[in-house]
Amino acid sequence: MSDHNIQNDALTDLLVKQVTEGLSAEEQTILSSIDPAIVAARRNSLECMMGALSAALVGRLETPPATLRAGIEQQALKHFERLTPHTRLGAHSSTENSKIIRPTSTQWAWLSAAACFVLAVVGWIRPPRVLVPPAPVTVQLNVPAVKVTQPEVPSSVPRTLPQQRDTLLARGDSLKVNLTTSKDPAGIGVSADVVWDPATNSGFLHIVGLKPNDPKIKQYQAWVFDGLRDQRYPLDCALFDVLTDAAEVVIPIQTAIPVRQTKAFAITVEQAGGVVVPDKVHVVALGSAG
Amino acid sequence: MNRDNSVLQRIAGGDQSAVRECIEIFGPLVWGMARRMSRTPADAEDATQEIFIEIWRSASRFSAALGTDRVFIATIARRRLIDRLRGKSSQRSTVSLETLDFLPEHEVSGAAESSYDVEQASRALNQLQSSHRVVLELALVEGLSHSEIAARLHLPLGTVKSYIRRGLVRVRELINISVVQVGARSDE
Repeated sequence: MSDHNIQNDALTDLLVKQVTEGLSAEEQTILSSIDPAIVAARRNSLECMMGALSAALVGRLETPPATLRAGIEQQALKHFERLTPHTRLGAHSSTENSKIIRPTSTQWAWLSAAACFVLAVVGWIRPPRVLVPPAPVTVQLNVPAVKVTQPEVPSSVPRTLPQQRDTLLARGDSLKVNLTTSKDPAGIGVSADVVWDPATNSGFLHIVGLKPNDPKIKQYQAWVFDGLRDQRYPLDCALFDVLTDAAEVVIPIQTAIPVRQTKAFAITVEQAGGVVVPDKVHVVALGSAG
Repeated sequence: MNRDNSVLQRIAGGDQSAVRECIEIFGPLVWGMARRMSRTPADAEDATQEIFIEIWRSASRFSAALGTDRVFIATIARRRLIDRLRGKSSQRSTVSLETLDFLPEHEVSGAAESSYDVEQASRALNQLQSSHRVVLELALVEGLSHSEIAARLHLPLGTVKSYIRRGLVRVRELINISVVQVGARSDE
């Protein structure tokens, strides 16, 4: 191996450590001894790649709470107000960074209304975006039947999740898997099944009798095992809450990456926000695809 | 994404309607990342606001030559979230957001240019070994340190470091291959 390659490897090691974990003072000194232009170029490229990976991996996408959206909008408006003919949006201002905007109660109404209006208009007219990765969905259930707000669609298209599940089930190419509950307390009295579309890596989890959870402490997470991948690492396909004693719920599920050989499904109880790898301590139900 | 119609470039140009569009389009991404990398929902809300402030400030540094709007925003979000996770509890040297310039690599180093998008990254992830993908996911999505990943997966620290490095190098290779293939097709 040439000196050039060895130096490249060492630089790669340092940069990977810097962007994933941070460097010690000694490592920082070593990095400082390398041509700053080369370091900056390599690091920026690496950072962009990791940004792309992060966006691909984040999986489930949720709309931010209305109050948060309103706060962000208000912050943006303030940012614009500060602009003068001599400053641009890209310029730094000294006061914004430490000041998180929390609108007063009197401002919530119109801010929320504005946000909702923008949401409605943008949601209505915007075509599907090409680059959005497949995203598992978090559904907060506070009524026995899942209710999802969707744009107007032709009446022939099923609109509720149970209807969509029934339609998928009726198709010849879908897969139905009954889950068996475990001895975990969360699984007592529960019955569940999955209807899965292997072509789209998506489907519906149908559960009866699952107990409500406190989303600030723990959440339910659904997993699919791919027979062609390492079985220690099932793929996350949904993070969801049951907020009331709902007799029966239907949860849309989807993986961020393709399932090449559907082997099994599982429901676990995990920390709030979900996890990348299930700890297998609280397995509510598990079912083999055959 | 149509790069001629970049939301970030419109923001940098002072288009206020692009700001709202940016919140609508990328709010779920930023919020999703913040939720995964924050300890509490309140932390996630504060982080999301900080990230958007940074986006408004940094929009003029965006260059479509190195990635899409989504990649730029995810990069800013990840950096901010990592800083929040580690900033107060660690003395380790991290990179300042102000040093992050989205200039094409060839402009400073003469190296081959790589332009990143989320679809490419997703395809590359799909081709990684499960162990490499999971380790990257824990580092990037949960913001765990190498030692925290080692503890979580019951792996030696050296193995975790190796998986992260090999995983990133492999992703880069796969994306570069993808770019070359697309380029070759467009030349036909």
